[in-house]
Amino acid sequence: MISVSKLLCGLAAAGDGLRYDDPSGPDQITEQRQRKPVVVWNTTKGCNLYCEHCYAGAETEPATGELSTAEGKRLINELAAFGVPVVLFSGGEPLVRDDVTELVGHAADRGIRPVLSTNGTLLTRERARDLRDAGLAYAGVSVDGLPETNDAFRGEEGAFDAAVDGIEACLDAGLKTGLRYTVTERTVDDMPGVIDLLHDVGVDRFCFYHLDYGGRGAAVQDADLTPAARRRVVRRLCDLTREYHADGAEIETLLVGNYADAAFLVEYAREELGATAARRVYEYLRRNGGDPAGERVADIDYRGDVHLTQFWQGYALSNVRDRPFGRIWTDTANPLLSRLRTREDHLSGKCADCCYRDVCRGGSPLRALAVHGDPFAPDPQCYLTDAERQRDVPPADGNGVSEPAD
Amino acid sequence: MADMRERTRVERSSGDGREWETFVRQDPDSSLRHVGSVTAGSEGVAYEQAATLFGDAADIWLCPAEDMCRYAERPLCDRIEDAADA
Ligand code: SF4
Ligand code: SF4
Repeated sequence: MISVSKLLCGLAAAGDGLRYDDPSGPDQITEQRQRKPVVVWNTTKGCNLYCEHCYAGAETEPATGELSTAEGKRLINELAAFGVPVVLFSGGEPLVRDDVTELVGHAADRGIRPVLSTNGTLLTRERARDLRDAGLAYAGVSVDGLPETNDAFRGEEGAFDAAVDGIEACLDAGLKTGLRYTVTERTVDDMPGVIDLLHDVGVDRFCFYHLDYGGRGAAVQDADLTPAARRRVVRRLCDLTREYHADGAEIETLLVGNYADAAFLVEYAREELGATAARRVYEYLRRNGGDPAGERVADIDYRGDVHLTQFWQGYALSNVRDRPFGRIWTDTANPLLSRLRTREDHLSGKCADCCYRDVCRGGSPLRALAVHGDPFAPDPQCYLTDAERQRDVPPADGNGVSEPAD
Repeated sequence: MADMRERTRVERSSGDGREWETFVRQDPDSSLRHVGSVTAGSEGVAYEQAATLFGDAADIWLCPAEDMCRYAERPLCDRIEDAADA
């Protein structure tokens, strides 16, 4: 998760601490907690919608074997004991479970920051208030395009309006609420319009996800952007963010799921803001650490399987019914887990000598696996030019003299 | 020696496709190790997936998850009542 607004506009992101891999997070969360992953918990496989790109492969009927309320609470206790800072309640659609508010409350009681990822269509005012009272810290609502595009993608007419109603319900309840938007060929053109429309509704946090190649997302790879188009949209988002800020609207914009963006942001800063700013951006991103799979993010699915990211459902490390999460996560006898955590040493192809590997780490191992059959091969979504990959980093000052990072 | 430890049988519900418990022997003289599970519709695809994830292992063994019997000393259902909560 890369905060464009924070990096380019120096905004003290209001989302501090929501995700510790957010560059604005580390100041807020203790060293100890920083090393622990944000956990995405797919509480259910059931969903009231049927989207084409669903990484969880959600179905309209919940699957058997979901963790029960009691199991969920015990899981939360174990996550708290392990020091997990944030649990993202996801699905499927988490709000199809009627115990979600109870589980959110339990996480908050145990000192975990509970956040929600939802399609928004089931968020009534009453539900939003209950979630707020239970201690929910943030609701991320998925919208993928303006009404026509979104509803076609989500497989339901009226889904856009229902999601906006849900967003309004959250904002009325005083819940911090943001947009989740997956950028594909089909949704890319609607992006500025959606920011505009939701900004009018009162949303000020906008997260843009690159498509990962897991679940049904793997089947819609063809709808993914070309590298050139991806570069254009990231540049557009950088420009837009700066324009909003110049107009006094301090929106928070974030990019998720493709760490070539980190390299691009340094390039963008160098071009638009100068070498000193670029160096500052680079240092921030280097501390942030690049792609988080298997390290700063973990996923637990509805039946307790532990995955390396929420998108990587085709491989499980183990199951929390067998073994506590902390033991699974620290068991580096697993060769894949240990290689992911030292992946700088295993990157191949153009990533092996890329000057940005400290801020990117080769991008998404899942996309590399899906396309090249090797998680340590270059991310097929990388859009950096050869010249950019061979630069001097960190960027030196204009006169060639490096200054200490601040 | 008699086994004095108590274990509970753990059920693992299957997901979408078939789950394959995966074991690798990293070097010819090391022991076989459980390294998780892959989802695949057939043995051939399961093997391919395991081989891309654990390509440098000497041996790879796969077993359909539904054919595994799992007995754990401290499964989650028993941990629920644990007094030593966080
Ligand atoms: S992407 Fe979200 S809303 Fe769409 S089917 Fe999957 S869980 Fe449901
Ligand atoms: S070449 Fe590899 S490490 Fe460099 S930016 Fe692209 S994906 Fe990242």
